[in-house]
Amino acid sequence: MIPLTRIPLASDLKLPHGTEARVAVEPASHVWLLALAPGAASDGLPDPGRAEGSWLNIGPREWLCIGDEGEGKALVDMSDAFVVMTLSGGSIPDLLGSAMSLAFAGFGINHVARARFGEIAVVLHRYAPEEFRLLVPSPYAGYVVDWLRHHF
Amino acid sequence: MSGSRLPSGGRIDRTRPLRFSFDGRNYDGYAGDTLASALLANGVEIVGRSFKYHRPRGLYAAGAEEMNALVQLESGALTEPNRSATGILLYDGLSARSVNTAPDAARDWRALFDRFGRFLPAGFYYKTFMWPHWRLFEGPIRRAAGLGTAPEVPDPDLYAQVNTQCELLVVGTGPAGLAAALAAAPSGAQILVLEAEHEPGGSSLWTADEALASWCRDALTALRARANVRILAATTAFGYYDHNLVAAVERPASGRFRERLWKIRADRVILASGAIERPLVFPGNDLPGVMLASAVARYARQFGVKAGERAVIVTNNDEAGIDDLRAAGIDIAAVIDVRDEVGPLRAGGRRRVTAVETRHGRIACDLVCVAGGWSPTVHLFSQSGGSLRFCNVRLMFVPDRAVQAIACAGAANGTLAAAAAIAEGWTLGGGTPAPDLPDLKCGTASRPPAIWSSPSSGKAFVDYANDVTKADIALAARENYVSVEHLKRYTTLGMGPDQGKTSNVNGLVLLGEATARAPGAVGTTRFRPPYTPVSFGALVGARTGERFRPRKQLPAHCWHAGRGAAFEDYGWQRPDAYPRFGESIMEAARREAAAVRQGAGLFDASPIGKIEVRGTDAARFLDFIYVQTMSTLKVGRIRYGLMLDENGVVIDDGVAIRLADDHFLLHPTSAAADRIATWLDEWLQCEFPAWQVTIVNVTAQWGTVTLSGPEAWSHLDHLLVDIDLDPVRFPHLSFMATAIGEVPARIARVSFTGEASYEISVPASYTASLLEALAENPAVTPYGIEALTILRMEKGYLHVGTDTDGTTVPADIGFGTGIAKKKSDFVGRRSLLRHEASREDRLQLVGLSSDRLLPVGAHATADMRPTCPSDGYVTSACESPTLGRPIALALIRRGRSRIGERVRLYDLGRFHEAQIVNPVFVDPEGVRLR
Repeated sequence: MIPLTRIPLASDLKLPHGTEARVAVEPASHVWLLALAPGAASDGLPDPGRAEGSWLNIGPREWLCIGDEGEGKALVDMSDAFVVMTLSGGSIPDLLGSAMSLAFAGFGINHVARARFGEIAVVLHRYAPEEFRLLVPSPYAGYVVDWLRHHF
Repeated sequence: MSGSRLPSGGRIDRTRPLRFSFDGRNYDGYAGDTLASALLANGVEIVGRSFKYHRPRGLYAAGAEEMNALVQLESGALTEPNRSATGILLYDGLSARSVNTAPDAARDWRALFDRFGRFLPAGFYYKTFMWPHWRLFEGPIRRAAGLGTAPEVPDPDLYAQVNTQCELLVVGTGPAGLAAALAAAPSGAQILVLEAEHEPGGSSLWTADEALASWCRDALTALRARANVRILAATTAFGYYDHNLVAAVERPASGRFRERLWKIRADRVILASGAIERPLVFPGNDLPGVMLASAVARYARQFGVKAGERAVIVTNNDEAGIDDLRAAGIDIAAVIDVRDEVGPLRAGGRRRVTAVETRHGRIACDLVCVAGGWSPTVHLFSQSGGSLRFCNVRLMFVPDRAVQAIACAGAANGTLAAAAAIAEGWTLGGGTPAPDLPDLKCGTASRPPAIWSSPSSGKAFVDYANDVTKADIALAARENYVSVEHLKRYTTLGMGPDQGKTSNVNGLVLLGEATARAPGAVGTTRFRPPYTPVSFGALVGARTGERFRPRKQLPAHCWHAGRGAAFEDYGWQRPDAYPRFGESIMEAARREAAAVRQGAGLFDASPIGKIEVRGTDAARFLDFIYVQTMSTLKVGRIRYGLMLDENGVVIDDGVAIRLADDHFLLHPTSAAADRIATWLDEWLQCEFPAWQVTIVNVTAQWGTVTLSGPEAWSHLDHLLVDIDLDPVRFPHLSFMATAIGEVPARIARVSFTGEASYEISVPASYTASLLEALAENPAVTPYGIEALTILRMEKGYLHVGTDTDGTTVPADIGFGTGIAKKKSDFVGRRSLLRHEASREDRLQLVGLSSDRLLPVGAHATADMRPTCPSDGYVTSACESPTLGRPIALALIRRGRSRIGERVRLYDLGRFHEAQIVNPVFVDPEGVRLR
């Protein structure tokens, strides 16, 4: 049997970094998607626009689980569908504001938004006052990094 | 005019001299100067030429309303046309030229046009220059009337855009704006304050009232100390849109970006944008040396520049600031108050003003200060949808009824006196009690301003930017252009880069006089964004080059690049081919296609759509979505299907794979994957909200590699020893979910080449590794999109959107049978049952055989005339390496009943001959697929 090797997506991208903002790619994090049919119970899962623990609500009856908590459940593996970037620093709202129309003042900790970044759709999660997680469709990772570098 | 620098005063830094050039001559200025103030200080009288008559023009204003001093800033890639000199902060080495002058503003030869002005009245191009044809004259006339020139090389500067939100947006940092922000600040609300000038402070920067200036300085200091207040200078709010979205453009003095476009969503907006002084209409009022009185005072106090030595003041009100002018050392030769029955009045002079002539005689002067009353800067208020009303006492349009969360304060609200403006701003900002105000000077208006224009003959300008005169407005009224909107279009009043900031009110007052209506009854034209010109760079922002349209990148992009792939943009960046040294793309494609037919080829099919449809209602949902019945598909099997829109037109095709009773995997075409996923969701949410179906687009999760060709299986069998891929037990159109080692894998027996194919999907991050493993065998040839296109054409496989168009129904491409028999409903079914969908003379997909390669798009014609109606057209064509001759696919009228016929095809002046044949050129029996 041929041995297959994992080459992390976006590993070739030059990430921007500065004193007030840092961008990194979360290494080897699993991303699972839970899509529930109408009427299915969603007890214990976060409400629309919110995150709890590893779980992020990203739309009506749709959740993402980041990490291994979702393994074994009836979830769809989306680990390679997204590149998970972490953005930290006080100037991140300004940086993201170059591409996203989002009211950061009202976008508190554990708020989640499925929003437009430039021309593409992303998921944004604020998990600490100056820490954000940006889930980028993996084919567009280069576009997002290019955009961030332009504005850094 | 003989402008000069005052020995002291102004907010310029006299310790930092700067050099600059205008129209090729070098001058000196100081840090803190604008280009306009520096030109005035250097005694430059003629700064530009008028739009139509090329009359000499000097500086007229000091702010955004300046309409004469438009310059071409810098040259080459950095050049910017039509910048107002009043908005350009001077820097060392600045280079500017006047616009549309030859050779320069002072010596423009087109000045002779002015002599023929009587032949060029408003709307002359509707009446004259018609014989023999307007086109003969249009070019020279347009060039003569033009402005600056656009840059011809790419702009090397960077631009950015910023989306931001705030609870309160204050536009303007004059006394009213500062008061509003100061009053609101203690609430802790997020406040954004915009100032169009390079330094905040508004009119307090040039007021003679030291108490007011001091109060404003303190207010600014207090605001700067607050964390919840952000002040942006050099930022012009230019547009007001729905839901309190305000657009502003910032020209930062330093930093990486030349300009930044701000999109500000504000809970509430306070507009404190001030007011603009109006000219008065009399002959000669455009001569260099005729200036707004407020501008003369501002140049003196803010920039330490004296605009002239001996001035005549012409005013229709009590607010001409005569004391300010005297304080600047300007000798006031006369004050002409037009409310005093002055009779005819004109400004005399040829290249600059030398006198004012009245019925009482001639008054020599080198400066005429005009004070024609004030127009509140209500542009943004009007853009927000607010209505205006004309105040007959103050002769100005003031804000009336707001429809968005916007309120006006200070001069923008018609409140000119500083103390009252501060009180107004303070109240709007939510401040109680009243602010602690210094003892400010109060206006001492004893009588209201008057409507007046000189009855003298001669060119009396209303709109300086577009050379519209009082006579033009009278002409328009005579010709029945009595609506202010018609007046604007007929005369071009208010259509220049200044958008009529100084001219609109005078124009509509004159129209009112000509048509016996009060100004309020005439009304204003609609204010539209932008308030001041905005560069394309700011509007485009970062969306240039690779960021213009995001391209998707394959998970194994680097692997392909390492193999010498020639990439092309198909939404995804995909290898077109892997040309070897000296090969063209098409030569490489033919080599690759032949290798697939003869051995095995390797293709990165990762972009192919992958949509998982799950749930107890999944099968019946797919029966509704596809023309074909999917509910009868067995687990582990694959079926080809067509998707139609409601008109029965083919919008996509691909295969559906049944993974389990309630679990399907759809493969829509690469370009349509995201669109189809959204489309499926739309059907579910809008029509079947209770159905137990979920849709997940997993296209990017899986990388897909196709091994295709007669030797594909033997190569795979060698590598995937634990997986039984024997074509007998794992035949065409079957599927297995398996693993390669520890890595999950999905293998589908589908083909778009006509050869036996294995489509292997692994998580995307393993794609490069899988490609590498499969390509290690030198007998396996990587092939790109061009080779795939050849292979699918040889097999007669259509590509939706290429071999179909916006009218193609299934029967046109050979899928007509069985539709009437399908029991359940599906999207487009009703349309297919109409007579139109089964007409015999429809365009049908056929093959074409020819001696020469046919051009795609060539039309079949019934006879030699190129104008003959089309009988169909070529959709795809290539040189077939398998057959050794050209082949093509085409949509031809009644095509399937005309197999064997010869057709003539017309394209770009040439005719081609071809024979209509079966569209399947290679392996019509499908033996090679097994």
